[in-house]
Amino acid sequence: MRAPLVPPQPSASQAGPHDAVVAVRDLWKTFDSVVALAGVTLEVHRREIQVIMGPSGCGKSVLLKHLVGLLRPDRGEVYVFDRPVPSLPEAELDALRIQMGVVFQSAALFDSLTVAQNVAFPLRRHRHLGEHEIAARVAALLALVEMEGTEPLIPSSLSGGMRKRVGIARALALQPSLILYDEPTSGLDPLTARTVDDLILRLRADLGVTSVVVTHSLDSAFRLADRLAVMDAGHLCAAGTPEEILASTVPFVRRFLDTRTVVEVRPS
Amino acid sequence: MHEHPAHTHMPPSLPARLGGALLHDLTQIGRAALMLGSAVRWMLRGRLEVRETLAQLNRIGVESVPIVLVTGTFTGMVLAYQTARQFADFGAQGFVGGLVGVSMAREAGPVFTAITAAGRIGASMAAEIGTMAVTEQIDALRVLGTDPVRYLVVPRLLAGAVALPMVTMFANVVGSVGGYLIALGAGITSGTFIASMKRYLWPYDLVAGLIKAILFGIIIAAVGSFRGLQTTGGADGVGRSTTGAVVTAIVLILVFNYFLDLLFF
Repeated sequence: MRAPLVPPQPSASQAGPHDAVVAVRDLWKTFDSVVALAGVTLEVHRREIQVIMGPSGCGKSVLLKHLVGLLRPDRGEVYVFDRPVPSLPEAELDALRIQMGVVFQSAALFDSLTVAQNVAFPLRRHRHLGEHEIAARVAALLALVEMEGTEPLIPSSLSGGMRKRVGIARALALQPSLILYDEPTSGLDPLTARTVDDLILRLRADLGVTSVVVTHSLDSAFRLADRLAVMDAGHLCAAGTPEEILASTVPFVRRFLDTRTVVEVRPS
Repeated sequence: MHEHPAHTHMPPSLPARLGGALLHDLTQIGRAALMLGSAVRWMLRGRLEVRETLAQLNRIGVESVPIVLVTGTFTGMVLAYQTARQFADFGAQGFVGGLVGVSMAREAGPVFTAITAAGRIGASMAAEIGTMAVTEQIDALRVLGTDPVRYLVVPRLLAGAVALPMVTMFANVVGSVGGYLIALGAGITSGTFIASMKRYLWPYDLVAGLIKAILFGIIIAAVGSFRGLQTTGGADGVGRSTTGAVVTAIVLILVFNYFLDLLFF
């Protein structure tokens, strides 16, 4: 095969805008006559933290799975790094996937492998590194998520928050420039949730990664977001900066925001 | 609550249900064929997962030895017990060794070993891969740029195809020894039994039985892996996949056994 001198440039009609790392246009997905996504359009810009929030079952995780090609849309377009995700052949999709890190809701660590083997998994498969270098990188990644010294443990012996952090370390192993977080703080106590949020912010500040965070926690959403999108029943009912969302007059957004609890200490 | 006008509470008619079930089965067969096709493509490309394959060989082969020692020995024993008594009435004790040897090599060795393996190995494959499917671990493999067929299915198919004939040969040997001991107890001399086995048991019988075992190993691994990958719906789904894998594998083993016999013997 003839190698092109310059990387092929996607034609203007096919490509997403160049400052957009993720571009989703009019995305539809139906499962057994249940509409999960009903015409979602969204762009995520470089180095931004885009939060997608909404109640359980609103389609936000389904949207995330389309970004990484785990689901194929019924209709609509998904571009990541200007590549059309749904129409990529398997080999090219794999090449695109390893530029993204995905943090799963359940962490999705491989039960049969130790913490170190989990974090090393993408390194062993996609990088040609010696054992020493792999061990050093694993140690550095675990230090980044404050899980030093947990290499020999098996995932079932870890708490939910620890599993999640190991999941983040594994997602970071190949130094992705886009990280997708599916409910990173769900099921965590408030302190651990805060640690994970701080980690997401630090990764953006230190490494300049673009992040898409799916969450139903308003607390996390407003702490993290550069831009916020609110989903309800497969529709994107509002999108904008946190200030714009706070000022939104969309009834569903108002109802969702009104669930914020204000903690007050009762005077004695 | 609103009643949607399109929704009727009439149960679907019998033809509709049969049609639905048929469609579902055909879809599953199609998906299984796609999985096997993808597995064959990975094998032809020669990109094998050596560590995973060795681990599976150990699980299917080495770890099956104790149970096959018991099932194989008792199978040989019951063959000798039944034939030694029946044949004694006709003064045909000289056939017992041959009958035990040929029966073990052609049928009892491969089929009983495969059924034991379907319960032990097929079930554990479906449970393991099914648990991975419902806990997003299969999705995690995909997003880490690793095809689950290449990483999970191909090693199991290869290990099944290699290990099951070995375990079957082991069953043939211990079954023959079990049969020999029972024959001695029934008054057949050691020399008669061994001479009879030498005379009637041909290498062809052994080879044909082992070829059947290769196919049974592939069936067990393919069904276990496929049911595992198709699992949805949490612990309940894993349970259904596990029993489904065992039942499907045993049915396929018995059906294929018949047609292979037509071919070989």
